[in-house]
Amino acid sequence: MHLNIPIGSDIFDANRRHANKNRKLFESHGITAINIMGAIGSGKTTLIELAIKRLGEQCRIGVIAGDVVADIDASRFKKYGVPTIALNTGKECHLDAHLVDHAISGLPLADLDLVFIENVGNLICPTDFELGEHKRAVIVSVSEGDDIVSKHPMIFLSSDIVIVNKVDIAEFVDADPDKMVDDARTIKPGITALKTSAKTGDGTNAWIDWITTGMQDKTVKS
Amino acid sequence: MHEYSIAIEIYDSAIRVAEENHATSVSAIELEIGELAMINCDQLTFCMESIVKGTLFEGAELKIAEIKAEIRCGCGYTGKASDNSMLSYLICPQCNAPAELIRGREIIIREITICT
Repeated sequence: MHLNIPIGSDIFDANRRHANKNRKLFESHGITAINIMGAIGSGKTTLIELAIKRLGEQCRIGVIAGDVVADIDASRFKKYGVPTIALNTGKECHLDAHLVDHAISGLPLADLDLVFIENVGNLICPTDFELGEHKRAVIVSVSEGDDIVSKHPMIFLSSDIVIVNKVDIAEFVDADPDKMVDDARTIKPGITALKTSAKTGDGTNAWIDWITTGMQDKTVKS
Repeated sequence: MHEYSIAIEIYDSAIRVAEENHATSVSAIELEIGELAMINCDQLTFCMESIVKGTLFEGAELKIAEIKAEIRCGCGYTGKASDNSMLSYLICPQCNAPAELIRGREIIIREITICT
């Protein structure tokens, strides 16, 4: 006998439910979680390292380092003595809430205030997968070309902050960081937009200020 | 590849429903995919065919319908964007203000046809 069985469910719903569960778990321990997204080589790992160096004295930080081969970035975080879980995604091009749930169980949640979740380097796939974060940061570098923001609008639409990194080399790659900021604000008016150089330190105080402000206000807006 | 993990998600959801309904095989699966869901339907079909080998879904016809994107603006406009560029889906074609994308990013399993 043939039967038509209606389903009607959006496959992102299951992930969203799982993400809400992760978020509640973070909140039950008073933890702020930040999803760090961006292309390969944009400076995600370096900007997290910078935050660990500047904030490590005043708050307890943990990291979930997601990548196709995550151990390389994870070892960079472990050098600072912060609890770090290397989340190897293998063939996957993004993290999802289920993967992050596994990683969370390896973190000493009772001893943490802030968790960075470094996503796989990619401006497309992570967009639709909530992880249980409170804030979403997307990092782009001028070396990706100053049209990178307008080419990938969806990830900026779902983010709370855009960081245009490596501004110290903008003139050598013919990129205009102001255009990148303007494009992000066209896509999402009111988005926090910073221009930074993790190498020279330019603009990085604002990155740290944004994190500490976010820890006071965990409202999920995206 | 993004489509591979999406195909796994679809399969996991659909097989649960098939088993709950005591299916002996599945002859069709109907999906609705938003035009802005960033999914290549040919790649998705290829991935699904690979995943379902040796399962209840082997040989099932995969039907995919597109959900057209729709935007809504505070000025009262609801409807299509001005053109097909990504940015146009974020701007109201009537008043040029930032608009809200209300449809077009979904990946919905509409229905499966099972044999019992």
